[in-house]
Amino acid sequence: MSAHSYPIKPPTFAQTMKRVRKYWFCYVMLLGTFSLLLTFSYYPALSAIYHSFTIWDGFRPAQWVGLQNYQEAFASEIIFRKGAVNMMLLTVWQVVRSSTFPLFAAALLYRMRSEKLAYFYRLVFVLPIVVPGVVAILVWRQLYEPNFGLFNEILQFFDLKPSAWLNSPKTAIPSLMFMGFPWVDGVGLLIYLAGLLAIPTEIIEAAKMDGASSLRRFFRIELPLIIPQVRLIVILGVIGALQNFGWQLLVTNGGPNNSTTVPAWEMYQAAMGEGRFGIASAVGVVLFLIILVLTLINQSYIRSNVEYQAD
Amino acid sequence: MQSKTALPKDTRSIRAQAISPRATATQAEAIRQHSTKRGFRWRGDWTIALVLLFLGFLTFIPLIMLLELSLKSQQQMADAMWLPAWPLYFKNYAKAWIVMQPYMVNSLNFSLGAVAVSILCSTLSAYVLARYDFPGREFFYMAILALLMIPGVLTLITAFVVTVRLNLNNTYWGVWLPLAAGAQAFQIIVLRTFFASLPSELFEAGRLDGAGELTMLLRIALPLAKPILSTLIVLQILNVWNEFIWPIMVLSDPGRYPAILGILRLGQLVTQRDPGAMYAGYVISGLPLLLMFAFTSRSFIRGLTSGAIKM
Amino acid sequence: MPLANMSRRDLLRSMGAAASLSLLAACAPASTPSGAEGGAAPSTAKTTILHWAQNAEPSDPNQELAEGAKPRAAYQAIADQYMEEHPDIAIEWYRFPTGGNLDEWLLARMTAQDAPDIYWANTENLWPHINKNWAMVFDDYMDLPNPYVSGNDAWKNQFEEVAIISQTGPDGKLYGVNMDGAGVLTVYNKDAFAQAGITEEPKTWTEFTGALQKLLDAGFIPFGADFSPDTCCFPHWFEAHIYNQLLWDDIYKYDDDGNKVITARELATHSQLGDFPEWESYLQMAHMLKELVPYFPIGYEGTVDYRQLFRQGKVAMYMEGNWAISDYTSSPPPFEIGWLAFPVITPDIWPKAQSKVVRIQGAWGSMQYHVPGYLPQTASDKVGQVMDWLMFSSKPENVTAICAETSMVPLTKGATARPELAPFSQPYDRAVPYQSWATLSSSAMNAEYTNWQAYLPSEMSDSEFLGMTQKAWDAEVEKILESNPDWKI
Repeated sequence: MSAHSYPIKPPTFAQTMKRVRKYWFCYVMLLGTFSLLLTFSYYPALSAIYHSFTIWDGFRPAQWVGLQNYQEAFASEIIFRKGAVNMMLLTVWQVVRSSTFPLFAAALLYRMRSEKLAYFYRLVFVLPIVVPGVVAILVWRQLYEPNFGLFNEILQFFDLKPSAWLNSPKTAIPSLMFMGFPWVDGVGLLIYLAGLLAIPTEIIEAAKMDGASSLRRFFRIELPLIIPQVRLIVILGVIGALQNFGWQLLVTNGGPNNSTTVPAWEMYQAAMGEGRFGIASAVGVVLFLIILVLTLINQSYIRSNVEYQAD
Repeated sequence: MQSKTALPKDTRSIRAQAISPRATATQAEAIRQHSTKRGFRWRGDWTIALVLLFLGFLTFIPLIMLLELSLKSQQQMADAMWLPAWPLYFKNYAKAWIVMQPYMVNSLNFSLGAVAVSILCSTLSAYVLARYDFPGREFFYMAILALLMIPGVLTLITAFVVTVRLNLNNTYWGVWLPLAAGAQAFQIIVLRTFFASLPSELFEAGRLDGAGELTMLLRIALPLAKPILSTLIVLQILNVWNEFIWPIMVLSDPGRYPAILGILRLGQLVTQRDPGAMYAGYVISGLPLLLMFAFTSRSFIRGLTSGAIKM
Repeated sequence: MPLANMSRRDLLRSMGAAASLSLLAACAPASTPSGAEGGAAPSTAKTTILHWAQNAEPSDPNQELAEGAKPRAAYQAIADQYMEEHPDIAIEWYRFPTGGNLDEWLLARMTAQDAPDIYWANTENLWPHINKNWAMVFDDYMDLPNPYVSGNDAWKNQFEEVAIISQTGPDGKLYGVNMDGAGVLTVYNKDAFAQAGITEEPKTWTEFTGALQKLLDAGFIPFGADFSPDTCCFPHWFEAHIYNQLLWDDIYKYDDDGNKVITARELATHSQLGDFPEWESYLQMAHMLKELVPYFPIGYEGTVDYRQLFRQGKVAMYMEGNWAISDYTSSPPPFEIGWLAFPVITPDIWPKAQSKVVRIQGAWGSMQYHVPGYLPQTASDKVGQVMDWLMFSSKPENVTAICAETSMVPLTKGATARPELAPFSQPYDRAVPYQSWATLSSSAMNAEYTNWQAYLPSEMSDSEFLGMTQKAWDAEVEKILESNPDWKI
């Protein structure tokens, strides 16, 4: 660290304007993005935040009610209680499964000595990416069908009692979580593999010569060095899982009996099903704050924890 | 206690090495580095191959089921839903194709348009955010990051109202622009990391040759960014393909609906007598993606494995 | 000019040009709101009427999926005939892929004012939105004579009373036209019944549950039902039949305006007064529903495709509407089917019930047509033309032709139903007074489904169930009053 003992002066206005003039083209190049974002993202978001303090049906003039929507959202037994529990469960699960299974498969692929086999398996896991997400969910729904789905047919074949899977409150969330088995996501796999392949071979060779086992090499060398990839996938995964309601929309409708509902789904229902955009916006704002806080925690936790280990 | 696998103290320099363009090797080179010089060896690869084969098989089961169901007639389904049946009932595909065909073109149109607008804007923005230290740079970047955390539904209605006020309802731009806006955040984050990883020597050399800023972007940075760009393009096309909430709101003319809504129409036209045709429709809706993937897989994979996707 | 040599000024100029070009392109609307497709403007300006005919829609070449289905041509022939007589009008079909999501579509279309000129909506889904002016008032035209029907002095006299009532809004005005209707019966597998040893069609509740048990013992899934808002429509059909029987004459105490129909507004009023729902009867209904649970398919709390199971011969019966007759006629299942009336509740089960046959028979057909409320402001000339087309469509022979394809029950006087609908003409004591199954709104219905999903598989006590239901009901009333403040008392 350099020996700066006296404070650095903040730039003066004139200095800043000089730099603005120097980098004028930067602002021009940002224009495209920011005009898009201002029109379709920032303004709508601010408008929605405003409407979270109103009663609004999306059509007639809004009516200011202050914090009433927020009170209703927090008083509800479902939105931020049952729904929040489900959301946390699904989010944690998302983090776990997106950071372990593809990583496991990537580590295995990495250890494979045969080039051709490695290509082949890489293709095997990457190919399912092209299946539209919606289709995959609908197919899984058929597998789970209680009366003629594949899983119950297998159970009945072995004379076991069929389960209602997605249709019963007790088994709905676990069934949802199981969807996508074995959770080796092609994109995640490739990203982790990239990180692993970028590790210079000298380190690995050195470790091998020192007699480190495969497992040890993984936990002490490979994993710490691909933390940037893990971090990206975890953060994006958390952000996505907290706002996701695709499963509810396509499969469960939040049920049965609210057993699979999440705040994002309640928000969608309030907006579209009931036409109450005020409370939908309120739920959305709270969700945004939750995501913000969790992301910030995520960022600092992973950074401090792992960088310490790597050193 | 000094561990047997003595890690070099300065992992930061290793990471710096790892992300330099020289180490941004193509997949082929990287794998070659790690395979033994004697070509492929089966021993030791056996267990790995088996485990991966098992995982791959599990991953493919739903897809195989989808294909199987799409080739069954109603009677074959009634007899034994999940076992393969002969003769294969290709008529399902004929029926589904007739219904899906007009919608497929629309999906293609929406994907390409949204991608074009999005990539154009995000490349420009990511480039300047990465390379130039202009006033407000951090602010702009944080503003973009914050967008990721806004739940989609929150801005749905307000964005729609904006779209109507701009007279973009039922137009192609009304679909392209908002979808492009939604994709900006992720693309800018990834591209910014990529552009920041390019060594400045490259650009200094260009500047010595008298190139302007735009030239440097077009002649130097873009060609290097091809793999990562194709990855982002493929990922965005997959996203747009699945999008159905926005199109159903913006488009008043059902003839313009994308394929994903065509699936809904299949569900309506098909009564319980033709469930096979519905599955055939699912498969058909995914075929263009498969085709696209067949052509772009190499770049797509190269982009993901370039090591640039991390945080 | 190679980029490298471009001066800063040129660069700015070209970027500015590009930007303004794209802005211009963006601002140009792609088509007029009424969807006039088809190229060059002809010299005689044709007015296009965009009509979402729902199930009555004629086949387009992209249809023809189901095995043995015949292409639908009736409405197209009618449209062709109309266009011959009126060369300045073009009728086009709005081919909407329905399936859920109607609410956001409706909101989007009304906000953007680009809805089709004639759209379909089940009226009970429309009432909460009438005050947003989403549907145009039809009264003026309903009082005019229909020029296409000889001897008609007012259009509204052409329709059965039930059809007029179904279109009457909370304020007493007519908000649409309803040319056909639907009935609900229980379709059953005759072979399965024979196999289970059921010799006579069950008529009373006791006979009905006895038959269910026999079917269960014979290895069938006796009754196909589920409690998912995605599937049509067992829970509220069941409720409509039972609740009416349990209350019988008392049901009319909610009918404030005496028109023999109970509207959402009347329900809201009586909910605020505290006498709707009648909780003792509601509890009895819950008990009777719970009696049936062992006879439902596995996973009935969620979505079950019991129609497919029926065709596979696994489910023995389920409640279905007459529109299914089209399917069952053109593609018969491998067994014989019959139609049962809903079981009658005898006084020994519930004293107030009077062994009466209740039927859901009324106005939920494919030809429930509404006109967007903004049309008189945005295209006032068109309104008359749209109404004229609707009047033409409602000619008895036209309705007969369309209903012959859709298997709906015509509600237009002089039109006849197809012969396969004979079971639906069996006599009954009362048709469910429209809207009386507590449909305040679709959100209220969803809340009720959730309650059933909680109650039926569990060992909940009556008081717990009532507490939960009452709380949910009050919340739903609050919501509907929020949307319709003039319904507050």
